[in-house]
Amino acid sequence: MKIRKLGLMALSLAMLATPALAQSVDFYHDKGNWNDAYKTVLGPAKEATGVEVTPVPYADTSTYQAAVRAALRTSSAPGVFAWWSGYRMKDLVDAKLVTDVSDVWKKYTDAGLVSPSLASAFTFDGKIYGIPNLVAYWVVLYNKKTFAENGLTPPTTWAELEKVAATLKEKGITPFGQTVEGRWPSFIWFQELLVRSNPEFYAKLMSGKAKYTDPEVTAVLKTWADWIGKGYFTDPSIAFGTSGSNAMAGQLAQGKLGMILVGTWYATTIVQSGLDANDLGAFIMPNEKPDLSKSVIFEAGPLLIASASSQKDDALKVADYWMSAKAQQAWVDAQDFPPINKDVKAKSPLIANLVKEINDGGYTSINRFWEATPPEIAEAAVDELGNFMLHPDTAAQVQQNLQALADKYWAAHPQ
Amino acid sequence: MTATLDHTAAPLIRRPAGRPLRQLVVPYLYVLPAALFVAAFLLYPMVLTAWRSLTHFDGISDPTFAGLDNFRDLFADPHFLLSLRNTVIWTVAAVIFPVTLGLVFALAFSRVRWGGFFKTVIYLPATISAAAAGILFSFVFNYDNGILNMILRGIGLSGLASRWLFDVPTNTFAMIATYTWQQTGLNMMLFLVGLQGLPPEPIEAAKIEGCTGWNLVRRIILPMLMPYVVITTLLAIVNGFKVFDLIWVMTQGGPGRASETLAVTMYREGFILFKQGYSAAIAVVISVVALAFSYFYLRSVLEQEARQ
Repeated sequence: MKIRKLGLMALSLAMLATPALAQSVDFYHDKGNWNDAYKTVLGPAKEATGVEVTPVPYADTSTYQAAVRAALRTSSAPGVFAWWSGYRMKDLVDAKLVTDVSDVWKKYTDAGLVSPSLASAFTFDGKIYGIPNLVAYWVVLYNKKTFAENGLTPPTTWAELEKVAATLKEKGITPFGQTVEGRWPSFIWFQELLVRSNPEFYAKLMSGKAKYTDPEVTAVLKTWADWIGKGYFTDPSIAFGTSGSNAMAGQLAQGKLGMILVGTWYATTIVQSGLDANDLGAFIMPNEKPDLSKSVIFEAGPLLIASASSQKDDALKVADYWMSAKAQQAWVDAQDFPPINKDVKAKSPLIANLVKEINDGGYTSINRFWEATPPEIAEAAVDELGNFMLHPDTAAQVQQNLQALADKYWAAHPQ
Repeated sequence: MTATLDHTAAPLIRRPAGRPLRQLVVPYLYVLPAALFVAAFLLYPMVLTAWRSLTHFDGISDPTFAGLDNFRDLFADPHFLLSLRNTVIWTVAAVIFPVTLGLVFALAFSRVRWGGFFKTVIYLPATISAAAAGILFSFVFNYDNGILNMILRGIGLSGLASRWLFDVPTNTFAMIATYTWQQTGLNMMLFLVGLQGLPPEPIEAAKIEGCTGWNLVRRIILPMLMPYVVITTLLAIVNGFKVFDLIWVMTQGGPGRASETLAVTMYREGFILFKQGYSAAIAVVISVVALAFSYFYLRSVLEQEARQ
């Protein structure tokens, strides 16, 4: 009888303990320097949802990707994990490894708090598979003091942009930053020059319906090479921060460099490099052709929920909390990202003004190159574009190599 | 003794007198944990990698059998062939520079005043990791504010200031220079051990006969030191063949894929492009070549030990 009692007690304890264990969710990510911010934002999730979230940072992105991909087919997969949008999450969706979170979105879009257009980069066959972790606009960040000292104002037309660049060059200031350091930044100017000259062609090129050998690409590379020849860019070996040191941000802060075309998340880096936040300005690059409609390149990084994870149900509660105004306000305050929830206020005037301009100005959002085209093409394309930046006279060969890559991919993946 | 001679009556399982079953089994139990460890962490991954090299596998879907497709694709892939060429350059350079310099320094500092100081200075870089050395020299080779270009500009040789880590093939040579800086001390120590073990009589006799300087080194010391030269060279070949961390830290195999070696190509294909079957095929190629050199290395070491 005594043994039976003890057994029942043990069983009861086990039953009590099981839900307690289930009320915790692992959150894997590769943004080591955001870990404290994640803790700050997700700490209160326990009180709001009853689920404790443990952020697990990985120092190296490729190690992180390999670890997550290996875990996704098992029940020990993380409840929530940070990933990349567009083609970079497509294979996970195709393999049914991530959870449909359309219902989480519906709650916020129906209430008019979140714009449904934000979900486009996470949507496949009408279902949404991610919630926004990072949203950034790709704009030109500039040093207001440098502009003022040289009698310059943010350009609103292509001609004005060229005038600003020529003026800065005359004054011994490098107009634009560009780099091949870390490989991936090589696509930045390529995507922007294409979007500014022909956004429809950019969309076609990304989905394999146009060719890298087409005249539109030739024209873009010609403009780019022309500007490199005029000395409008930094040397492409300049450090951008991908390996620790960051000469580009430092040069902008010191007034040696006029402008950096980059995601809005880089503003914090520039301020940390010594530029007063009030002296940092931002503008959306004007179109090369005046008749084009207004557009801005955006980057959306999602948080995904592993379908096989034993923490899936709790992870959905966390996703709901993450979209709430309370969590988003804490996130924006910590990171100075553009707010996605309409009840949330931007942290800095720079972001607030940009968001207002984009919303009021009727800008079309265009997904950035890294996610808009398949990674098999993007990963190799940045190497080719890097070669072009180092040796602009190789444009024709680079175009042929890029098209050979695209041909190989699209032949194996017919649409 | 009598028991072992009793062939007619002894059943096969009969134990020798005084050696219970426990004594026969216990030694194997001592070995078992190590054997399991080797099987789980060495043999299993080796077999799995060999199997993966015969499949198409993206890390999330089920692998599909591909036969020898990956190996056929490897030798038609210009990136692999460039990577193979770079690996050969690395392997040759890893022998020529760190081994030769290690030998020269060992000979130079083995019997001189302040030799201990110089030996320490040469050996110190070997105590830091290759990744740390790579980061350090990334600063030295930086185009804008690296110390090398600053010196060149400072002494009026601006024309020689270069993008050391971004121009091909300069970047491979810059990385080999870093590798040499880091590895020379280790090779020097191996040669110093060898030099200390040499019998003094032949050297003294040669000196009495008037053989000194380069002649003494070439005709007496080097022939006696040859087993150490062979071992150090084979070790350098294996290390040069599988170099990864230094390259990953300094150029990530770039610009483009111009400075990749086989180990870097394997990593990029497997963990960035997620062509894990293809990556496994590269791993098999690396393993076969490294195993061949390891065989000669181990044979030299064992022969050396047998001689002693």
